[in-house]
Amino acid sequence: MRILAAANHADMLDELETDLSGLIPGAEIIKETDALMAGKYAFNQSVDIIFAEADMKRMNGLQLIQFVRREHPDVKSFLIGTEDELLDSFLIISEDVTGVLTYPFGEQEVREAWRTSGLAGSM
Amino acid sequence: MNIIAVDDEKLALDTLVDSIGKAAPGAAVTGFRRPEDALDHIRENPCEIAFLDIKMRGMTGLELARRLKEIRGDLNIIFVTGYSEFSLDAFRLYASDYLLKPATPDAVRQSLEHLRTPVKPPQTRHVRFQCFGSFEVYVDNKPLAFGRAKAKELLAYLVDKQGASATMGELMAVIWEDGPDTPSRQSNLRNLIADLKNVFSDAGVENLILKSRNSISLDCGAVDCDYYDFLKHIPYAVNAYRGEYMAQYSWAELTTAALPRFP
Repeated sequence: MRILAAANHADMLDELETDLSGLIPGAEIIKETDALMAGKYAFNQSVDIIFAEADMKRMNGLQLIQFVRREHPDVKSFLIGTEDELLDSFLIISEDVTGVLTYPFGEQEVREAWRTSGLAGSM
Repeated sequence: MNIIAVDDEKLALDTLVDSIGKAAPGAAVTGFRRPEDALDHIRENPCEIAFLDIKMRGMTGLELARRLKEIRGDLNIIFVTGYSEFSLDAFRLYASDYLLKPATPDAVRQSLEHLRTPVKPPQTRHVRFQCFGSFEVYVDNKPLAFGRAKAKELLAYLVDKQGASATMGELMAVIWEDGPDTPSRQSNLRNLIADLKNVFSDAGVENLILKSRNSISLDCGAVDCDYYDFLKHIPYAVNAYRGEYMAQYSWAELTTAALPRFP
């Protein structure tokens, strides 16, 4: 399984990688701090799951998810952001997003998002 | 005006292309017998209008219309069919019109006069922005020279905004990096905007910069841009990106794209 993780800060990506590695052993995790580079990666490679921070440079997280879904319609997607920004945008994002993660999050929150998205039993 | 026509039957396609050519003599008309070829074409080339046969082998015109609209949301779709019962489904897909076969030049002309998205008169000059790497501006493929570097930077910021308005206060904060908002700065900004408009005007480009009472924006529909093409999934642009974006401007590393909020 290949997971694309995009966020502004490498530290957050490292933590997410640790959490996901524990949750999905053997997953290949691609980390990008540049939304356009993440989009370019997914344009040229297959991706099963994407985690994207909402507030990114040049392309926000929802745009990135929609960009990746055009190439890979079955990709599962998680949007990361503040509770306020995700709530304000809920009706817009709900169609494209499998689940959300709000700051601050750790292994427990990633596990919970994973479980409530229904993916835990399917992969 | 750029038009495509798609019909898997050669005779019907030839008739349709001929009728379009007679109805719109100045238009560039390209005919396709395979829907996939039309999709490939539209990913790489400008197009404002598509005439589509509905009943085709492999992919119906309705499905083709849906996929074309995914690539170019402002594309005008005109269905050409021998079956009037398709019209309801056709209009659900925001078709501008539908024509019964054989499409005559008069019928085509009438459809072109009632497009859902009117075709703008083409900019007489071709303007292209390069955002990947250093920001550059080309008019008719020649680099555009700016007398003042700040005017070019102002333009780069408007390109980055993707057509959204920038207020005067916002522009001053970007161009002078949060320096004080003094009357002399406001005057400088007004001069920069005037310079920018003059640079384009001297190059034969009009109405690119749109000004309202306290803000300005860019008419993004009138230009080509690698960044915009990236967002539209156009392969050359996606693969042209190497991680550098408007490299000469520090703010380009900081501007973020916020989520849309539900109104």
